[in-house]
Formats: sequence, C-alpha cells, structure tokens
Amino acid sequence: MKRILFCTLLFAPSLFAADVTGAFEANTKYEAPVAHAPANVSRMFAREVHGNSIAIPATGDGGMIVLAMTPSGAARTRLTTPDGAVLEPSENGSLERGLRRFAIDANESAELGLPRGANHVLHVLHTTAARYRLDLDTRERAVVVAAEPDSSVTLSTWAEPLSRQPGEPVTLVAELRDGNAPITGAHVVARLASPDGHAFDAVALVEEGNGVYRATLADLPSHAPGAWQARFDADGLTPRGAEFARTGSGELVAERGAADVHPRSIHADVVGDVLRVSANANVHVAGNYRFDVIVAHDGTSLAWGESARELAAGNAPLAVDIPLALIGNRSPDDLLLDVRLLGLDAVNMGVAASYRRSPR
Amino acid sequence: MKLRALLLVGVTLLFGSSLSAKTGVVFIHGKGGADLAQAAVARAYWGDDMLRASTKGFTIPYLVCSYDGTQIMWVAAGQVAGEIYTWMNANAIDDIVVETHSFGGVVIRWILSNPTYDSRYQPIINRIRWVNSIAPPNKGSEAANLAGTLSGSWLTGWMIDLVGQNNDSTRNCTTSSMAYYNQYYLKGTAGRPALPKTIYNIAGTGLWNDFAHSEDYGLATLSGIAGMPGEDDGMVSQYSAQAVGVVWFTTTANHHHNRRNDYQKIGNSLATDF
Repeated sequence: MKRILFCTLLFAPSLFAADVTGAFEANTKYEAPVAHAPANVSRMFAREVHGNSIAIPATGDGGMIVLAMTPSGAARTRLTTPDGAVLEPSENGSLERGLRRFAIDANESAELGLPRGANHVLHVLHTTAARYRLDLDTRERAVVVAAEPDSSVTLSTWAEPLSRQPGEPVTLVAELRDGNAPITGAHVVARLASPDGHAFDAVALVEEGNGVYRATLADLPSHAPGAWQARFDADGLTPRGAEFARTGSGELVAERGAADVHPRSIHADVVGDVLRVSANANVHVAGNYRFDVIVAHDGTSLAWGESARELAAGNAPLAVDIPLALIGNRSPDDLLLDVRLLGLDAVNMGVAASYRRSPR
Repeated sequence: MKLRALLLVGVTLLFGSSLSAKTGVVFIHGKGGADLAQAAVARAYWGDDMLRASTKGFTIPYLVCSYDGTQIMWVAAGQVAGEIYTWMNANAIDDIVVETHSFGGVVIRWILSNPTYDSRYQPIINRIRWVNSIAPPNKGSEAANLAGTLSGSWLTGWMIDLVGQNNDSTRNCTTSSMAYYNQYYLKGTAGRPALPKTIYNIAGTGLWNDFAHSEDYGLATLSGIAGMPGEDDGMVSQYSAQAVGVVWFTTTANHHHNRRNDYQKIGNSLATDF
C-alpha cells in the first residue's frame, strides 16, 4: 500500500508536463549500464544437412532431442545409434528401447514459436559419447537441431558492447566448458547478421586461454542501425575426449548516432529547491528525445528524472529538475550522475548518448 | 499475498464509497500472428472460459485488446493504448485491473515506464489499479533466442520462411533485447526506477499438462532445445517472469495453458480481485 501511494504522489504533479521525477526505493544499488547482455548458454547445435544424412555427435551426458526441419515439414527421418540400433521412420519407439518419436502438429505449435518446418521430434533417453546418424527421406533442404539439455558441455556467448555507438569496435566472445573444466583447442566461428537479416562471412574466434575465444572487429560490416545478431558455431573435443558441437547466439544494438552529448557539459547545480542536471547535446537527427538522469551517491541510487523534448538539429541544451527532497542534504559534487539521451521516434529510437559523471 | 489482500480491501473501501467509480478488466495478449489484431482472434487467444471466470461471469466490464502480435512493444502499445483509452472513456471506467499474458506483460510495461511517450498513457496509468502479469518475459526468453538462431540467412535464405518467427515481437523478446530495453527504456527491474503501479507476476513452472496435445510436446522440446535455466513453462523461464513486480503465485500450467482457465483455474484466481 505504501509503495503504491508513494509512487502515485510522485507522479501526480507531472501529469501535464513532459518531465517526470521519482525517488528510488531505499538502498537500491546503483547499476551502471552493462557492457553486454547476459551470456546465452547453449547445449544444442543447428546444422544444415548436405545430402540426406548428418552425423550428430553426443557427449554421453543424459538425453538428446533431435529436430529435423524442412520447408514442408514432411521429412521422414531414420535415427541410427552408435551401437547400430535403428528407429525407422514408421516407428514411434518406446521407453524400453530408449528411443522415442513424438508427433508435433505444425499448425497447433506455430503459436509456440516452434519452427513450423518440424513435424516430429526424436528423443534419445540416454546417449553414449559417440556419433549418431540421422538419415532424411526428403529432397528438400533441411536443418537439424540437436540438444543435450543435461549435458555439462556448454557454449556461453555474447557480443559487446550491448549499446554500440558508431565507430566503436565490436567484440564477439565464446566460452566453452565441460562442467568447470575449460575446453581448449576447439574451432569456434561467428557470423554477424544485420537487422535486415543479411548474414556476413564467418569470423574465426581466437583462443585466449581458459576456454575463452574472442574476435574483435574494428567496425561492423555495414552501417545498418538496430539489433545485430551474432551466431556462434563451435566444435571440438572435450577434456574427456568426447566429440561435441554447439551453436550459440548473441546480440548488440548498433546505435544510429542520431545525437551526442558533450561529456564535459554535464553539470549539476542547486537552483532553489531542485537539483538541475544539465548538458549540451549535438543533434544530428531532429526529433523527439528524452534526457534521462539517475542520481546516485556512494553506490546507492537516490532519484531519477526524465525530460522529453523535441529537439531540432544542432546544439541543444538539456536539463531536468529533480526535487532536492528526493536527494537529501548532499552536495552536487558528491553525486554520481548517470546521464542518457534516448531517441523516441522510429528514426532515432535508441541510445544517442550514455555517460556517467563521477563525484568530484 | 497478505499485502495484496490488504490492498484489495483498501481498493474496495475507496471505490465502494464512490458512486461514480466503475471497475473494469483489460486483457492484453502475447505475441503471435498479425491476425491477433482481429477481435475474434484475440478473444480466442484467451478462450471464453478464461474471460468468463476472470470477470465473474461477465459481470465486470471488460476489454479484450487486439493488437498485431508481430509488432515491437511501442507499436503494440500504441494499438493497445488506443483501445483502452476509447473503452475507458466510453464506459466511464476509472478503476482498471490489467491481465496480461506473455509479451502482453512487456507491452503494458512500456506504457507504465514511458508515461510521456504518448498523451494517452498517463490517463490510462492513472486509472490502473494494478497489473496481473502471467508468464511475462521480463528478462527475455531463451525460446526467442532460439528463434533468432534459426532465423535470418545464417544457413540459407529459406530459413526465414521456415521458422516463421522472424518478426519484431520475437526479436523484442530475446534476452539481449530485453537486457537493452530494461536498461534504458523499461522500469521495474532491479536497479531501475520503480513502476508507477504494482505488477503481480504469475510464473509458469510446468511443461507436461496434457499428453494428448501436441502443444505439450512442442513446449517440452522447445524448453530442452532453447536451454531455459531453472523452471519454465516452455516459453518463459521463472526467473524472467519474476524479474519485475511482486510474486503472486506460480502455476504448473504451461505457456499454452496458463492463459486459459483449463489445466489450472487461473481465471478463478484473477477473479478474486473483484
């Protein structure tokens, strides 16, 4: 009850203004923008099938799920285990055999986000560390996805920076582990895809030790703004000698460079009963922007303010007033200022600038 | 639960004493096809039994929002805000309980987080009592990551058509995208400003609800391939659903069932708000 009333009171005075301010809950830890999104952890791989057969390496850690996808969803599949057992296309298998086939109605499952090119899934209850073989009875192109949900062999991947300004280098990182043990000597590549879905050439990641592989690009292969995806493919041998393959993903946002803020222009001054946080922006793309400020002290976030404005191209002064009552009796010089300029239109959506001014 | 019960008593006393107060329910669906912009399709998304149960036999005025389920959150929010704004003004609704499923929880967070983005947002926010958010991908969904991995022209161009998930709403729901939006545009996660209204989350933690339906096989497959950490409902992990707001309860209903009133009577629980 208290929290709702508190927030309502804070918002009430701002009903007819473009500025909104508020206080953080007590003892809220200040969190600076992260360099990259949380790592995506993969225990699966996806590969295109060349011909009508594909080898599927298993690590021998629990079960395995195999999905074969074709445009029509009509592919019939035959799975052969390392010891020669076969699950024929006409068979559903059984728990006793350790092999099962489940039908998936593509129409019913479309809403789930499951690829509509899959009409059945194969389940190996307990794998052995060896190659399985999947034969496909189809003339269509096909992709096979195989996952070992219980496997200790993981590929963790990310791309950074998460918010990437024009001209900044891009780093693609992969970490391979078998439990706590690093996997060395693996072959790891990554491909970037622009927001319009165009995939670029594969880049080899260089092993730098402790199971970490990395590639740094001086620039993106095109200037398309928006969310870029990175797809990682890794294969090799675990420290136990088991063959593995993994596919992972990462993502970053290529910002438009629609505006910038001069870091030295960021100031905080007491004006009457408010803390006025100001900065100067250089606007390249006119439009609606929001000047966001978080005020923190000694690692704790105190208050925030937002000021939405339409900005013309050229120099633009930015300011937001935060009631001193939300900050307490602290000098502006003692405060950390987290300043962001965000685009609000389709043409400039994204982070135009993000800076932190440390306490003086 | 106790706090929520106390709040409900407070709301009842507050609005019960006012002759002009009128309570209504708004349903906001998740991502899906463009045809979710059709009223009938959006209604079918929830199912009549869910709507009936949640509104106590249709005695509470309600609105089933219908927006294009392929759109990014601010586009979807624009369509949703337009419907809510028109409905609440036409029916003099001034106490709104919002029920969301999946991506619908992100759409309402966009509205709550960005009150100055659209002139209709603040009047809507003012009338919202609270939000009940079922299985929202507040920190993204590993299933959306998988769709991204299998989309695009990674392998061959036809993959885009094959997976059928190469749209803005799915890209909005990747864990990376949600990390970005949570950091800059959305409120309510740890370290960010609080939302102006409370969200009560309901996370799904079950997969196998009905062995006769292929959805369960699909969800279990998706969960296994996508590599969802901890408990999940086949599409959204518990950690993600509970990353914003107050935990109301969890349900063993999977992502297919937790927007309906069948496997678990979630609609009956939602109706306790009235």
